[in-house]
Amino acid sequence: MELFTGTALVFAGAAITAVLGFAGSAVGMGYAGQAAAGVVGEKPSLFGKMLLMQALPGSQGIYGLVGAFLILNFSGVLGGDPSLVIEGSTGMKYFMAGLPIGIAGLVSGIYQGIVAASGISLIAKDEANTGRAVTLAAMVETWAIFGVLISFILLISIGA
Amino acid sequence: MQKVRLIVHQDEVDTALAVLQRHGAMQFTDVTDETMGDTAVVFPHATLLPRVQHAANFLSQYSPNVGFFKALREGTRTNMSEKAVQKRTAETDDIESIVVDVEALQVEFADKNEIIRRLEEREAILTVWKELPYKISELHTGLTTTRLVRRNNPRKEDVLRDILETAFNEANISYAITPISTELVAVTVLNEELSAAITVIESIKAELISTPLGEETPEIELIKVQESLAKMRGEIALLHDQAEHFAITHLKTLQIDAELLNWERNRFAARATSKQTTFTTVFEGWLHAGKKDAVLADFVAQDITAMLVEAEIKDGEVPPVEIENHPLVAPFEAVTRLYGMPGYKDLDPTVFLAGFFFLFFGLCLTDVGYGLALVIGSLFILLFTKVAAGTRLFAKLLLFIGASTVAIGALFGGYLGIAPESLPAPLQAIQLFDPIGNPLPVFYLALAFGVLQVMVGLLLKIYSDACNGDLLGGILDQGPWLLMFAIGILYVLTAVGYVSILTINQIGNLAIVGAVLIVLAAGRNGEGVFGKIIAAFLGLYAGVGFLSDILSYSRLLALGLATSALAFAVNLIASMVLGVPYIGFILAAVIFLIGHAFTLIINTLGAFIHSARLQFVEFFSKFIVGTGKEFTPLTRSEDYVTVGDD
Repeated sequence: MELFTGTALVFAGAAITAVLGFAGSAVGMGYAGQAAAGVVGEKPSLFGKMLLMQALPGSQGIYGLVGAFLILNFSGVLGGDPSLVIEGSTGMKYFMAGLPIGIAGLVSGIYQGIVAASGISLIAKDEANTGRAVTLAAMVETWAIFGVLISFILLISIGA
Repeated sequence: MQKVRLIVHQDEVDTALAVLQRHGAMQFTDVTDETMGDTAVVFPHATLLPRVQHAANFLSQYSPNVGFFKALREGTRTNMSEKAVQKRTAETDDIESIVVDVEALQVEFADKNEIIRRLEEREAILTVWKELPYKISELHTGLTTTRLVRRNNPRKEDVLRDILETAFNEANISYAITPISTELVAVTVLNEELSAAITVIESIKAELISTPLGEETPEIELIKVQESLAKMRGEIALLHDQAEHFAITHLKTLQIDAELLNWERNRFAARATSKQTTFTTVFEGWLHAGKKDAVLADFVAQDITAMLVEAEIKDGEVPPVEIENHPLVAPFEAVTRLYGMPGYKDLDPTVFLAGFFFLFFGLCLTDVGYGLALVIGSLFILLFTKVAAGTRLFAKLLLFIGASTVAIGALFGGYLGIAPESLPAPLQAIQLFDPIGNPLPVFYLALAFGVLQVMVGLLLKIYSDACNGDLLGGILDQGPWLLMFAIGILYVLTAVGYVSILTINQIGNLAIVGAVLIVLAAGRNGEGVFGKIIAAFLGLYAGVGFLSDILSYSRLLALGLATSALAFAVNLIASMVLGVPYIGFILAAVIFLIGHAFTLIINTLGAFIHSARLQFVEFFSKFIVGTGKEFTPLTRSEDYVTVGDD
């Protein structure tokens, strides 16, 4: 039972890491997409820039995917080794290691979407503001990236 | 970009502007010199142009359909020589007779359609009345009035006639009812009791049907209306044929003239920015320096009395920005333009991002099959179609990044999601990475590319500062960070045992030196003692930004993984339906084709956007500081015409 719990916790860690990131990106991209659709209706020529702005909050989902793969890889699950044994306490470490990416991804994805939606209004007023709008939205993502960093350090620490 | 003043003899203004427009060489700004008079010009075809455009739009509905592939292959625009353009520009007044004919045709269409609309309304009313055996002229006499009444009965056993009889009897109204169906009857009442009868009819929630026009019985009138309708529809069909004939004979001419008149209107709009002296018209604006010689040569060739002189840039005036690159790099301008123009004093980033974008797109898609699909699609567009110049340039970009995807896909073993162990031995031999089985090397590779691109960005900032006369500032701001990156690389290489020039401790000491240099260099920008201290520590804090930038490159791994996983899932689903009796193979083939087409589209979009984002957020931020306004010269917008050499 103890050994089973370890593997299950690794799976849960990978799943939560990925799904929280996906959820953050989905909500964030939804906010940005709504604003972008309004602008494209008025100015179809801005579609490329709007697509870029909508894609910005998609990074958190990508980090979630990376995190899930790293958890599965570091724990040895990805290799498909049938003799793999993971203790419950080790499994819990992998579970905890995924949380920084997941939670930071969820929250920053949502807020990046809100900033991206405001940036879209900025671009609608003047196309020359694209660089500024991208930069403002990218600032929020910094915290998702730090989540990736901490998770990565935690994953390395488990093996040490 | 040069700020210039163009001085032209008043008789040759339009010819001179046509030369500038042909070359797309000059963006005009308002002349503010108060010593000269305003230019009062009116576009002579201000009323003709919208009529020509309207006529062209109308006839385009009747233009023979051209197949999609034929339109791609042969193009939709008319090729004209420069001489033909000039000749036609001088003759555009002739188009008015065609426009008048098309407008007459439109009026006929409108009249006949209105008649048809009215006849259809009569037909609808008469269709309801047609069972009534009385003449319409007899529906209203000096004594009685006959109206048609309808009610949708809620219950089958309710008959409208019975309901009306009961209601009229209760109201003491004299009546005669001619039943047509259980829900439709004709009611005849005395004229003096008509209003009371209508009240009764409304009280039982029945509906009075409009009385038709005509003399004969509704059935005969209906036949007459239907005959008139058939005649009118025949006439509309004839008009339709005439419109199709007009479209074949006149549409191209109308489109060409609309385009030429539009160009002329833009020239007149440019004239509105000018001022006048007794004999000359004076313009100001930004001249594309590379096109100056060609413009002057054309002025001489066409004997135009005009001169271009350098003008003073006023305070606060910023030149517009145009980017131009070698034909091999030019396709990547689409990525730069997606972001917007760099500042006037910034470097054009296109040539620097081209290599990285080429590489990153391949890393995000990492599939030989999808790369080949992009290569084949773009080659088809380039070799077998006549599309607009912008589309051709984008097809070239797809060709390049498709080729990158093929090469990187081969190194990563990506072949439409097929497991590497199922591949032929030669293909297995060239595979260097296994992103799904062992993602860590790809993760580190992605971060290494991040370090490389950030370092290139820092070097470009030094170069950019040098170009703007601040080489020392550039070296002091970026140099310590470049040193820190070099120390970091040395640390990693030493830690994994690739190099052993210095010990880890010595590298640590070097890092302290690097950090001190960063603090000192950043501190010099602060004002006062406290300002310098704050600036120094803020300089060190920039390291957080660099760390965040580099980790962002992990998306290269994630997007590559996503492509492989989706392609694998498509193959899995296709293989699951193979066992279905008889149609299993067909089902599997359909799922395979649609699934991979979907994956190709979704992942190509993702790869493009995220590769572009790495340029905009992580790369451009290192050396682009301004935001430029795009150079928008007086030019020819070629929607219907392409102008070739004479």
